[in-house]
Amino acid sequence: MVRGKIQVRMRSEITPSGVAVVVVEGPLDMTSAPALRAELHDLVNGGGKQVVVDLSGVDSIDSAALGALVSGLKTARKNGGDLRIAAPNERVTALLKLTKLSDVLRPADSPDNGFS
Amino acid sequence: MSEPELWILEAQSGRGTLEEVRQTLSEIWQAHGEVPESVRSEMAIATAEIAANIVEHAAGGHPVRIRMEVLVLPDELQVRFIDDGCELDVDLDSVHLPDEMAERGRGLAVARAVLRHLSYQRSDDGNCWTLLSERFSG
Repeated sequence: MVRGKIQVRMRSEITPSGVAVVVVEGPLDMTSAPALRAELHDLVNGGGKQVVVDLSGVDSIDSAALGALVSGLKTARKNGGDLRIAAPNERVTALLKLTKLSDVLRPADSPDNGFS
Repeated sequence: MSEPELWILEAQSGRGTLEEVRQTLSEIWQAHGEVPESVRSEMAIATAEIAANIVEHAAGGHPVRIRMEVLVLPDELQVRFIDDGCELDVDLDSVHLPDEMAERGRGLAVARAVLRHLSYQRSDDGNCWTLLSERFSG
């Protein structure tokens, strides 16, 4: 997905174990957060219970994007599932700690073990 | 010790504003290798939040003129955001992180937490945000 000059790309795939993985590339900010929120809600509404957001291609993130992730987490839990993030870089990890969201948006080392 | 250097970004608020802010910082980092990674990181976070706040609140959905001034000093960065948008009802002393399941309302708390100083003033020119980085040795 390319939106204006921001150039955030998202693609979703379902792993053999049934986990919905959203791979995001580019900066996640207030401009791209609505698209992420919509993507997560679509996945959950489409039956995806376990969702992993792969952040390995995200170099920067802001509080609006964290809000979109929290929104996706809430929707997933409402549907009996869960949401994890994978491969956050140092800046993303620092912001998660700063906002006290490390225990809510739990990181995993990679999408494959997001729910191990 | 290098002389103070002023970098200026002038833009209309819109979908590309945050990218323009990031691009400006990127150019500054290239020119100023002495700025430590921790300071770059905190300024990246804080400027993103303040710029987003301006786009969302001062502009109220309409384009406003934004001027970002980055003064690179030997031991700190001073950033000012000036916009001609509507006056904001901001009390930075009462800013705090919302409930962990909240989907909004973290921006100013984040900016305040990473900076040495954050202030907001309303003047005849419009809104003015002042951001001061942690001090560093150049």
